[in-house]
Amino acid sequence: MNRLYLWRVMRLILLFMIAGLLHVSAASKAQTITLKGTRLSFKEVIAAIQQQTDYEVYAFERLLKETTPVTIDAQELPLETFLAAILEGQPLEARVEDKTIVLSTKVAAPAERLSKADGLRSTLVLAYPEVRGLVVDSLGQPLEGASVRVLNAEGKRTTLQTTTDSDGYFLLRNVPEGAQLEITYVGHVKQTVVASVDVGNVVLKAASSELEEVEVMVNTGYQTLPKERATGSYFNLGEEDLKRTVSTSVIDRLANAVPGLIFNKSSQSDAYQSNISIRGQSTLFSKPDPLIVIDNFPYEGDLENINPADVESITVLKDAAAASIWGAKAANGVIVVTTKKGNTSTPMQVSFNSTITSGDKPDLRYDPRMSIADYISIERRLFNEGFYTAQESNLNKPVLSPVIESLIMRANGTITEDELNSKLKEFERVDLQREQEKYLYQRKMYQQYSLNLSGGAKHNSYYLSAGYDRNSESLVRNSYSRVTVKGSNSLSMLKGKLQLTTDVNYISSIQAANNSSTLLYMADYDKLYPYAKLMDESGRPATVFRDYRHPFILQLQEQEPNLLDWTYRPLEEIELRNNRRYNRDYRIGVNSKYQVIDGLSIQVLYQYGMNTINVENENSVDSYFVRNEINKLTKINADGSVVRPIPLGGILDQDNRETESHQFRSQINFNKHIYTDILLDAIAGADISEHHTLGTSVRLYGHNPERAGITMVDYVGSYQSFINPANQSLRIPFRDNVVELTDRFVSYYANMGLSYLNKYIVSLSGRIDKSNIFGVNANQKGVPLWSAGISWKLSDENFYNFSILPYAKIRTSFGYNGNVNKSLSAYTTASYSSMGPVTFLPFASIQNPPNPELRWEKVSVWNLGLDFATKGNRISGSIDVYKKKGIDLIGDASFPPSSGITNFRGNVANTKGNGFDILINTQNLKRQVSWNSIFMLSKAQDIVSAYLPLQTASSMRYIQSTLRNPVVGKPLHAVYSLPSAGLDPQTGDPLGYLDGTVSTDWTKIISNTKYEDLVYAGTTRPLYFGAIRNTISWKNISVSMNVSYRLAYFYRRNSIRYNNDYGLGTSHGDYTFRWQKPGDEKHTQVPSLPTVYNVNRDNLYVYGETLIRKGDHVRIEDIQAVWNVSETWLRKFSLSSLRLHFYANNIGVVWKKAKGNIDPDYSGIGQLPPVRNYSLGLSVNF
Amino acid sequence: MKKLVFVFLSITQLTLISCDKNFLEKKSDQKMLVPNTLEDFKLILDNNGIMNKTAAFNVISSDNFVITDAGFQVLSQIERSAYLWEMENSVFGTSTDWNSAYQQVFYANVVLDGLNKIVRDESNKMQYDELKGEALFYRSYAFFTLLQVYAAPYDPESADQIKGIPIKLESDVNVKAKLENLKDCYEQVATDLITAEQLLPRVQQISTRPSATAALALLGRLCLVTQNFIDGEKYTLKVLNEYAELLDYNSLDTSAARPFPSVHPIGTGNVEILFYSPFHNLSFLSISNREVTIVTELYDQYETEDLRKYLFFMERGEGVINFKGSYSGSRQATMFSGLTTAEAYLTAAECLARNNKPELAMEYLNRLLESRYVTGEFHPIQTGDSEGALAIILEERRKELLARGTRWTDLRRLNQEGLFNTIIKRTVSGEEYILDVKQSRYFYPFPESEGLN
Repeated sequence: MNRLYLWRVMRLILLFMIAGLLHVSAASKAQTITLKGTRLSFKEVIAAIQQQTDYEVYAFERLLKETTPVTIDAQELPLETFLAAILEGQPLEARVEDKTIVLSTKVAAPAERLSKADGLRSTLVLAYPEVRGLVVDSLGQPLEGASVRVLNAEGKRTTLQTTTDSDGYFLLRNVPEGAQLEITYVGHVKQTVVASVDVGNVVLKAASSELEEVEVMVNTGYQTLPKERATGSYFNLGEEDLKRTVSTSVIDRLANAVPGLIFNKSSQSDAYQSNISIRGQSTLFSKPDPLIVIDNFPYEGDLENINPADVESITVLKDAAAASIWGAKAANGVIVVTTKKGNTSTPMQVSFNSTITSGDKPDLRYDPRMSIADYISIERRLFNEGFYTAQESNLNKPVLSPVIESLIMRANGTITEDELNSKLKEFERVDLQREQEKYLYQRKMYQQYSLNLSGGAKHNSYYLSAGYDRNSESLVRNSYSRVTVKGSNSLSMLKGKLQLTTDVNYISSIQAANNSSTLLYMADYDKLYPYAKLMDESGRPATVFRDYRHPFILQLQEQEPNLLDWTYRPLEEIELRNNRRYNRDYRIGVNSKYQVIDGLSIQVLYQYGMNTINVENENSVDSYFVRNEINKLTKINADGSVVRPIPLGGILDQDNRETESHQFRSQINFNKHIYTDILLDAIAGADISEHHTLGTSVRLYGHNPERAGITMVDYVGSYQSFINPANQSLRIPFRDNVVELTDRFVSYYANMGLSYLNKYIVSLSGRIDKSNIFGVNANQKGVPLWSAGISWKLSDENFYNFSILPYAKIRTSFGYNGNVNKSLSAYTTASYSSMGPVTFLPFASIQNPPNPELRWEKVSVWNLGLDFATKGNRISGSIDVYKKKGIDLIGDASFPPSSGITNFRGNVANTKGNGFDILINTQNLKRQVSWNSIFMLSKAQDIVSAYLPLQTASSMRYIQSTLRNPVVGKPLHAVYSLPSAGLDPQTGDPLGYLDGTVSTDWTKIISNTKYEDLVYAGTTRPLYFGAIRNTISWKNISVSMNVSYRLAYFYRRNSIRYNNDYGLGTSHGDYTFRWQKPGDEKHTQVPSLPTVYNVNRDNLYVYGETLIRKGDHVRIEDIQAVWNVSETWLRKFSLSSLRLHFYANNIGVVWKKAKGNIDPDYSGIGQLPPVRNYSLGLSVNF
Repeated sequence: MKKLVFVFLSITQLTLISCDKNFLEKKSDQKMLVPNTLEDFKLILDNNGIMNKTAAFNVISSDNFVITDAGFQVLSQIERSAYLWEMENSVFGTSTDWNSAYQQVFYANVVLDGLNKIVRDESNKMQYDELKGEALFYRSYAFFTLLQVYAAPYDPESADQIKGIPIKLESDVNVKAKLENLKDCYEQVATDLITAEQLLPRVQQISTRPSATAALALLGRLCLVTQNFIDGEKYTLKVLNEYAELLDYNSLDTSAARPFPSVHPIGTGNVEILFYSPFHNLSFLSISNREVTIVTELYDQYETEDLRKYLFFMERGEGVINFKGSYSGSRQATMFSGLTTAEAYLTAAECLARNNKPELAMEYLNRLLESRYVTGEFHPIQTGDSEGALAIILEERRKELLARGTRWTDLRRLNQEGLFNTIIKRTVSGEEYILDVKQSRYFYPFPESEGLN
C-alpha cells in the first residue's frame, strides 16, 4: 500500500482520538463487598467494587474529583446496599445494569424541580393532574420518543398517551388514580409502572430477540420510523444479520437473507440485466438495478467501496408505499444502507474485527472438454481434408497450432512419419488445464481488518473507523486491497435544539488484474490448443503459439536480428503486465436539524462526493503485447537501418474517470399528536443533485517508467505490415477519448403518515422528479409519482379474540415508482466523433430518430401484507402479496429496414408482474439449547403484457437470446427451443420438424419454423425462491446453516457445436458422447459428426428442446459457527467481549432436478461455480 | 417560529425552483447533439463509415472471380449463398447490403428535411447548396445500388409493371417507404442526380464527398441500365469535358504489392477517382485472400504489353493469380468501389458506339487504353462498325472495371438485351453450378423483415 495513504489514514485517526474519555475497568468474582476504611478516596472504593464483583464501573474522571472521601465498614454487603451507602451525600448517582455500573452527576428529578418551583402541588396525591417522569436506557441515556401510555383497569391501553421529549422527560395530564403506565421504546423491553406525580427514572432494558418488544426501525433514506407505523413493505437487516456472512462487499450479504431479493448469476448478461433484483424486473432497456442509498443520499460508486464493518443496518424498500418517496429512481426497489454512528453519554468503546478467508482453487474440469487425443485426431482429419490450406497460404500468416505445423512439416517432408508420431505423442501428454491449475491459479486468501472507536459525551457523539482489506484472488497476480476510513461526529447545541452531524468517508482501493482469460487466446479470440505447456522442463515459462505461424516468426527473427523477440510466453506475460485500477472515493456530508417547536423540525443535508477511478495498464517494453505492436510496423531498410513507427518502450493505457457529485436536501419534519389519539408524522422537502463525470482515455507510447518519459507517434501515417508487406494500411492504434456526462435531478417530495391509536395508519406519499433529459421540453422533463397505504392493527381491536395470534396487522398499499432512461431523446440526436476512418475528418452518427412521445417508465405496485405473531412469539412473520404493472416501458420495435433503422427504441412495452414474499420465524426450542428457524419463500413473475406484434422474421431471434424475449403473454426472460425428433438411427443426424413431418432439411426447418412452432419451456429466472436458516445455540455457542432454493426455471445446457471443424473450436466434452453407430441414438442426444458443414444442423441441436434443462435446485449456501467467549475468561484480558466466528460458504448443491453435474446457476459457456471459502473471524471489544 | 420556517422554506425551495430551468438544460452527454445547423449536417454526411459503403454480394455472384474449395469452406454462409446464387435463401434476410444502403438514405433524408427548416440566404447558400447536392447524391447512389442488387433487371418495355424497391424520401421513420415500380425508381434517381449536379461543386478535394462530375458519371451508369444511350453520351462526355484525368500506368511500380496511389487526398492521390465508396468487408473481397483467383479466360485476354496484367494481378505460381489492383491503394484495407474517370471513358465509348458513332467511340477508348499500355506499345484500335466497336468496348469494360461491382449490372443488362448471353458456371466440391440468363435469378430477395415479399 502506498505510504501516503497510510499517513493520511493515521492522521485522521489521531484527529478523532483527541476527544478521548477515561475508561476504568477491572475484573472480579463475587457480588458482595467487604470493605473497611476511613476517608477512602472514591477511586479506592471503585477499585474495591471491581476487584470483588464482576461489575465494571464507568465514570468521568472529572466527576470523581467532586466526590468527598468515604468512611465505611461493610461486611459482605450486597452491591446495591453498598452503593447506596457510599453514594450517600455524594453528587453522584449510580445506574446498575448488565454488569456495569455507570456513575454520573445526580440529575435533579422532575419532582425535585417541581417541588422547588411549587411545593404545594407535590402534595396532591389523590388524582394526578400531571404525571411526570424520565425514561432512560440501561446506560442512563435519556430516550427520546418513548411511548408512555395509560392503561385502564383491565390493563388495556387507553387513548391517553404521550411520548418523551428530547431529554427523555414526559408529562401526562389527568391520569386516573392508581393507573398503570406502560412505557415502550423501540428495541427495548416495555415497563409498566404505577402513576404518581413523580414516577422518577424508568429504566428500559435493551430487548433481546423478542419480536413484540423489538420494534424494528425502518430507514427510508428520508426518515426513520418504527416499522409498526409503516404501511409499506420493508425488510430490515440489522447488524447481527449482516455479521453472519463474510464478504468484501456489503451488498453480497443480502443474498438469501431478504425475501423477494435474488442475485442473478447467469453469465448471459448485458447492461439491462441487474445482478440483484427485488421482486422481479420491470424494465427492458433502462437501468435495471435497485437504487442504493447510503446515509440519506443515492450512491452511484462501486458497491465494493463500502466497508461492511461500518454498516449498522440495511433496509430494503419493496413496494410503492415504501419506495415511492424515491420517485423516478425507485422502480427496481431501493436498498437503504445506514452506517454506524456514535451514541451520546457512552464511554469510549473500541472494537477490533479481523477475518481471514481462504478459498479453494476452482475446478476447471467442471466445464467438460473433449479429450486431447480427440482434439488432435480432429486436427489431423481437418488437415488431411485441406481445411487449413487457405490459412496456410494466407499472407497474414495467421497462427496454426503445433499439431498442424507438425503435419505441414511432415507434408513438406521436413520430418519423417516416426518423428511426427513421436511429436504428436508428446503433445498428447500435456494437459493445459493441469498447467493452468498449477501455474495460473492459487488458493485465494482474503484478509479483513477493521478497528472502530465510538462513544460520546452528553452533547456529542463520535464514531470513527478504519478498515483494511487485502484479497489475493484465485487467479495468480490478481488482487484487491482497500483502505476505508470513516469519521462521524454529532453535536447537539442550543439545548439540544440543533443537531449537527458531520460524516467523512474515504475509500481507496487498488485492484490488480494481470491474469485474465485473454492470456490463453490464440489470435485474440480462439481458445488456446488444449495441449499447450505453460512451463518448460527447465522451469522457464514456455512458448505458446499466439498470433502468427510459429515457424514463420522464427524464420523472421533469424533473418532480421533487429526485430524484437516475437514469441509469446503466457507465464512471463503475466509478470510483465501491470494492470491496476485505483478507485478513490470521498464522501463528506453535513446533516443539520433544528427543532423549531415541539414536533416540528427543519433539516438541511448536503453531501459532497468525489469518485476517481484510474485504470492504468502498463505494458513493459519486454511484454509480448508491446513487442508485437512494435514489430508489426517495423521497417528494415535496404541498408539495414531499422525504422520503428512505434517507439521502443512500454505502452501505457490510462482510463481516468472522475465523478464529482453535489447532493442537497432541505426538509421539514413534523411529528406530533395533532389530537390526543392522532399522531401525524410528515415530511416535505426538495432534493437537488448533480453528478458530473469527466473521463479521458489516453494511450502513451514509448513509455519509460524510470524516467516517466514518453515518445510522440504519428497516428495519421499508414505503415507496411512486417508480416504481410502487401498490407500497407496499418496505423498506430489511436484510442484517446474524452467523455463528459452530467446527471441532474430536481425533486420535490412529501410523505405523511397518520396514525390513530397506533392501530389505524394511513400513509400518503408524492414526488415530482425532473431531470436533464436531452432534447425534451422543460415541461416534459418531470414525472409525478405517488403512493398511498393503510394499515390496521387488528389485534388491538376489542373484538379481536383470536388468542393463537395475539399480534396481527394488515396493511395494503398502492402507488407508482418510476425509471428514467437518459440515452433517449425526443429529437433526432447525433453523437460527435472527432476523427473519421478515411479522411480523418470529424463526423456525426445519428443515435436515435425523433421520438416526440418519449415518456418516463412507470411501475404501479399494489401490495397486501399481513404481519403476525403467535403467543410468546413462537411463530412470527409476514406474508406479502403484490401485483406490479410496468407502464410505458422502453422497448425495441422492429422497423422495416427501408425506414433507415431496424430498431426503434421507445415506450412500446408494458409488463405485468405478480408474486408474494413469505417470511416465517419460529422458535422451535427455547431451553438450554435453543433452536430458531427462518423460512423465506418468494414468488416473482414478470409477464410482457404489451409489445409490438411479432414480425414474420425467422424464429431464431427468440431462440438465441435468453436475456429478453418480449412476446405478449410470456415472461420477460423466456427460453424457447426448436422441437426436435431425436437422432436419425442410420446417420445420427439431428431430426427436426418441417411442416409437421420429421425432416433433416435443416435450412428449411430453421427458416420455416415460426414463433408458434417453438417449444416454450418457461423463464430463465427462478419463479420461486427462498432460503431456510436454522440456528442452534447452546450457552455461548451458536451454529447456523443457510439453505437456499430456486424453483421453476430453465436453462439451456451447453453442448458441442460442430461448425465446419468437427467441433474443434467449441471442443465441448459432449463430443465423447456423440452418435457413432446405429443404436447410439437410444442413449445419446448428441448428433454424429457432420459429413457436410451446415450451420442449421448445428442450430437444430444446439437450440433444440433436448438441451433445455430444469434449473430447480436446493443448495447449502453457508454454515456459520459463533463462540462468544465467556466473561469470566475475558476478565483476565480486560476485554468486554470476544467473539470467534467460523464461516464457510458455497457448500454446494444438495438436490437438483436435472441430471448431470451442471450447477444450474453456473451453466454459461466457460462459467465456473464459485469456490468454497472458509473464514475465521475474531471480534474484540475493549 | 413560523417566520423562521417560512424563511427557511423560501430560501431553500425557491432557489431550487428558480435555478430549475437552466439547471436542467445541461446536456447529459456532451457528445450528443441535435443536428439542426449546416455544420451538423456536414458532420452527418461526412460519416464515411456509413455514407461511403457499397453493396458487395453481387461481386461474389459475378463471373470474374472464382474461389477454391478450400477457400469456399471458410466463407460465411451469406457469401456462400451469393457464390452459388441461392437467391431464395433466407440468409439474405439480414443483409447488410440492404440495411446499410437504407441507412444512407435515412441519413440523407435527415439532412434534406433539416435543410428545409433552414433559410437559404446569401451568406449560407454555397454551403447549403453543396450539402443539399451531397445528400441527394448519396441517396441516389444508395437507391441505384439497391436497384442493381434487389430489383429485377431493367426492361424498357415493361419497367412500369415490374416491382422496384421501396423508395423513402422523408426522414420520419414512421412513414412507410413506398414500393415503386422499376421505371419510377430509376426516374427518381435520375431526377435527383440532375438536381444534385446543379448544386454540387464541379470537383471535390475530398474523395468521399460527391462532386458534380461524380453525379454525371453516376447518371452515365444509370443511362446504360435504362438503355438511354443518348443521355448517357451527353452526361459522360460532360464529365470528360470537365475532368478527364487518367492515371498513366507507366508511372506505377508493377512489382508493388499495392501499386495504386492512395484515394486520399485528391491531388496527391489517385487522379482518376471521382467518388470513393468501398465495399463492405467480406472475406471473399479481402486482398489477403489467396483462394480467390481471376478466371483464366479473362486473365488470358490481357496482352503482354498491357500494364494492367502486372498492376492488377500477382502470379503466385501453380496457376494461382490473385487480384491486387484495387484503387483503394495502400492505405485502405477494403476494396475500392465508386466512380472513376476511366469508367466514364468506357461508358461514353459504349454510348457513342450504340449511338452509331463508332469512330468517336474508339477515340475515347483508345485514349483510355493508351494510359494502360507500355508507352509506345499501344496501337490504337480503328473500326467503323458500331457492333464490332461495341464488342471491343464491352470486352475492355470487363477488363478495366474489375472488382468494382459494375460487372453484375453489365451482366444483367446485356443478358436482358439478349446481346451477349452469358452463362456462368462454377464448380464447388466437384459439383457444378450454373447461372443461366433467366432474369429471376439475377436479383436477391428483399429481407423478410421488410414484410414485402
